[in-house]
Amino acid sequence: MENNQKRIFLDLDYCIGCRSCEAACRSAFEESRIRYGDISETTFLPIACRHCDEPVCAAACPFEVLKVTDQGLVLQASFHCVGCKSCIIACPFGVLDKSLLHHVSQKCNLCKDREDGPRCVASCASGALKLLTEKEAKKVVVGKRFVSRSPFWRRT
Amino acid sequence: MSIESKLHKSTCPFCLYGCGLSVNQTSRGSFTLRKVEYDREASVNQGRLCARGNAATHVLDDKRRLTSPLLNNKKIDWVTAISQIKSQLKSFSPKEIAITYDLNNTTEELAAISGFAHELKIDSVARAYLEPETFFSYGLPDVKHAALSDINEAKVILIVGDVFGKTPVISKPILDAKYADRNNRLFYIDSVKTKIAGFANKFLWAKPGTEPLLLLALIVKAGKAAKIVIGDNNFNKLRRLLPQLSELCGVADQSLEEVIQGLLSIPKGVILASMDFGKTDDPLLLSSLVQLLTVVLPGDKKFCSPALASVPIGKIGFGDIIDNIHQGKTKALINFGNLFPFYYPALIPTLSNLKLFITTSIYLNNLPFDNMILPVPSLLEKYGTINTLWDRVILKPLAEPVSGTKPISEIIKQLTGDLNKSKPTFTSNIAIDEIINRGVNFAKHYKKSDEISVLGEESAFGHRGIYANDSDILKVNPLTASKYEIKQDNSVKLLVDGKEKSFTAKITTSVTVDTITISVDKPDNRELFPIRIDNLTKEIIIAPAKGKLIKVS
Repeated sequence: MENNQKRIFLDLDYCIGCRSCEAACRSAFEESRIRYGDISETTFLPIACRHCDEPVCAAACPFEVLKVTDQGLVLQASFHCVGCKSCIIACPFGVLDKSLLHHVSQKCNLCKDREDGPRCVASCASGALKLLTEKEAKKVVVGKRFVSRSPFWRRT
Repeated sequence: MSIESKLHKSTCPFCLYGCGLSVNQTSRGSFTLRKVEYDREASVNQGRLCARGNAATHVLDDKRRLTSPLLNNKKIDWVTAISQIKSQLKSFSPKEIAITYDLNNTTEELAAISGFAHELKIDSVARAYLEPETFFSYGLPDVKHAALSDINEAKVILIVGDVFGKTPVISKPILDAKYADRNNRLFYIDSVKTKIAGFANKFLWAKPGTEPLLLLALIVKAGKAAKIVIGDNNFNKLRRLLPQLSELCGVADQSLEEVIQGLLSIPKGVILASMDFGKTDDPLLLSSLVQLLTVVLPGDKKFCSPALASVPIGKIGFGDIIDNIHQGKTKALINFGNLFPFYYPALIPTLSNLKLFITTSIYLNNLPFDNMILPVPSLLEKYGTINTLWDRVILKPLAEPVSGTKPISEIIKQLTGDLNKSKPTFTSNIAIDEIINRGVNFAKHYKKSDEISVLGEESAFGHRGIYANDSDILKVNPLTASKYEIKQDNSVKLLVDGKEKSFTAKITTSVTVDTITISVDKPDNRELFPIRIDNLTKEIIIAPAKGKLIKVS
C-alpha cells in the first residue's frame, strides 16, 4: 500500500453495531459487500475489503476476473465472473460473502463510482469507519480506549 | 436518448432526529435508478445515516406500493371511491364517526385533518400511532429540552432504553461527549443488555418492566434536591419504599449510589430516553419519571427523547375509540396514516365490529373485514413541514409521488369541497403528584411472576424487514435455555395467552434469566403483546407479555 492510497479503517471506540454500513452497501449494490460480525455482545466488527497489496482472491481466480489496478485497488470485472467461489474460499479475512448475486461474487470496489468515497464510510452512523491513508491512520487514535485501558473489553 | 441526473435533498422523516437525506436520481427515458446520497454539509448528521435512511430508495421503489383504491381488497377508481365515501358518511351521525391519524402526515396535513373533523362536527379525533414513545408527549412543565449542542457539551449522560438501536445517528454526539474528557460519564438503564451497555461507565440492568422503580429510587437518592421539587409528603412516601425498590428492580444499592453521585456532582448533563414496542409495562410512568429526574437533578440538566412529540395528541385517546367501538357508539372510522391497523394485528378483532372502515395506506395490504384502502404518497414524496427534535424543517419531495396516489389534503378537499385548517397540540402536562402516586402504586402492586417475560426488540437495521428479517429469532438466556433443554438454533414454540408462534432460539447473555426478546420490527410478532388502555390518558399501552416456552423435538 502506497502512502497516498486510502483504505477503510475502523475505530472500535465508536462502532455501535448499527449495521448502517451494511445497509448503505446493500442499498447501492443489492447485496452487502461489507461483512459484519459480533466479537462479543457489546463489541462489533464490520469487515471491509482491505484491498491487499498481494491479493489472495486475485491469485485464486482462475479467469483473472480480479485484478489490481494502478491505484492499488483490487477490482472485479463482474462480466467475466463465472461464480466459481474460488475468491470467496481464498480470502483470509472472510470479507467476500458466500452467497452469489446474479451468479457473481460480490467484491468491494471502494465505491469508485462515487467521488466522495465509499458509501459505508459516509453512512457510518457513529463515525467509526474512516477513509484514511496509512500515514493518517497512524496518527488517529483508533480503538485505543477499547484495547489498552480495560482488560474486560469495555471502553473506559 | 440522454441520461439525466438530479440530486434531491430533503430531511429524513423516519425518526425525529432530522438527518439530511439526499437521493440521486438518474433517468434515461422511462428507466429510473435511485441511489441514496450522503450530504456532508447536512448540519445535523454530516451525511451519516442509519439503515432506515439508507432504505429510502426501497420505500420509493417498492413493488408493494399501493397504486389504486381498494374496496374489500378489490381495485376501484378514485371517482367511485370518493363518491362512495361521501354517500356512506351521510348514513352516520357525526357522533358515530371517529377520525385517527399517525406520523405519515406533515404539519399542514394534520391541520387539514383537524379542519376536516371540525367541518363534519366529529369530536372523536385520536392519534393512531400506538408506539409507546407517544407517551413522551405527556410531560412536566419545567423540563428543559436539549438542543444538539447540549449533547455535544454534556459532561454526564444518562440513557434510559435502547436509544442507539432506534436512532443510531445520535451515537456520534453522545460518544464524542463521553470521550471528550476522561472524567465524563455515561450511564445506562435498561432491562436488556443492548449495544449501549458496552460503552457505559455504569450499566444498571433492571429486571423486565422495573425501569420506573429504578428511576424512583434514583429520585429519592437525589435527597434534598428531590424534596424541593416533589414536596415533603411525596418524598417521605418514596423514602419508605426505597429498600423495596432496589430489591424489586434487582440492582445493587451501590450501583445506584454510583450513578446518582455522578449525576449530582457533574453539573452539565443530558438525560435521553427511548422506548420499544412491548418492552415497558407503564410507558407513561417511565416517560414522566425520566422527565421528573431531569427536573430534580441540580445543575444544567436537559431532557431529550428521539421520539418526542412526533404526533400531536388527539382530542380523545385511542383507548376511548376502542371502548366506543365495543359499546357500539362508534360505527365508522376514518384513518389518515399508514401504520394502523396493519402494524397492530391485535386490534383487528375490535375493528371488525365497525360498519365502515376507511384507511389510507402506502403499501398493498389486506384486511379481513369490510374496508376501503386509499393509496397515499409516503413522507418521502411530500412537500410540507415536520417537527424534528431540534427544529421545524421543510420536507421536499425526493421523488415524484407514485402514480395513482393522492395526498391526504386533496382527498379531504374532494370530500368536503374545501380545506379548513386548525392547529393541533403537541404536548400536554401532567402533575407531579399524579406521577408520584402512580409510581407508588406501581411499586406496591408489582408482582414477581414465574412465567417468562416476553419483550419486544426494535432496531433501525431491522426496520420493516427491508435489510434483516429476524422475526423468527428468539433470544434467550443460557440458564433459561438449559432449564427448558434448549440449544442454539433449536426450534421452540412460544405460548402467549392462547396464541402460539414458532421461533429459532438464539442463546445470549444479553437478556436476563426468565426473559426472552423477540423482534417486533415487522407486524408478525406484534399480536403476541397484550393491549391495555391507560386510565389517565386513554392511550394504548402495549406491555411485555407473559408466556411459556416449549421445545419442539
